[in-house]
Amino acid sequence: MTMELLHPDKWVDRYADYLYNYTIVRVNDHVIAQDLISETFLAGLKSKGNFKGDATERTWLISILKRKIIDHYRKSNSKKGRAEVRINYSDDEAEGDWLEERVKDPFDKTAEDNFVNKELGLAILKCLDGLDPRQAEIFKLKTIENYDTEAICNEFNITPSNLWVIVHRARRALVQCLEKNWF
Amino acid sequence: MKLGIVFKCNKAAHICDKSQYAESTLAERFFMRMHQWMCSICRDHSNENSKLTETLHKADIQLYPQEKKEILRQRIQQEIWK
Repeated sequence: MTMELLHPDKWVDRYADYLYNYTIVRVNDHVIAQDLISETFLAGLKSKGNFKGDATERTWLISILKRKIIDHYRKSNSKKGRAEVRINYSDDEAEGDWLEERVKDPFDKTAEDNFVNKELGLAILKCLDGLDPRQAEIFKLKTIENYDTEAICNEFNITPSNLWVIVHRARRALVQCLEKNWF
Repeated sequence: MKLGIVFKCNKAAHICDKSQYAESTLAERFFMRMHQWMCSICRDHSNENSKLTETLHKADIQLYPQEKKEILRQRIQQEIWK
């Protein structure tokens, strides 16, 4: 069994997106998710001496992040009144409507669909880990952020031909990885 | 060049990739279809590619904001150098 090593200088490129998606599902707030990831990386740096190399870097960072998420909920629950559920159906005109509105799903997605799609997102990001970080970044910008080809080429100083080769390779790798781990 | 697509798999694959991002022209798509009509490997590849696009759209992926990534990178670097 090979010993895993830590590469903190590559953490942002390799794991920020994965941890971000992992956290958003659990805290449902983008700013809090960003803060928790930042805290996770810094805590990881401080305790890097404790890393034994048995688990992968990502697994180790997730274990730190899980503790951060639990701490976040502990803190928010200790602030009385903040964690309560609020429903904004207080005016008379809306009386009687809320049940229909609440039950109806505007996006025709069930909670299970949302959960599966989030898990699928994590599986895709995990598969992209297998790529060179720069190529993964280019692929994400093109495919997920829908950046223009020209904008990406300028940003990374590559030609459109290079970009399409990177995209093609990433797509092939992704298909193979998802077939193995998801479908 | 356009006629080459009809005969060459790599050119058809390139147009197929561009089509996933709505960046292929009508003429390119026409020649790609002609190629796929004759080539079952590229037809299968195209189906697989379209399925991947659908999967990527379905997956609810959020990316950590680019500018904040840069700030985080700098912060980690500072901590490493300490």
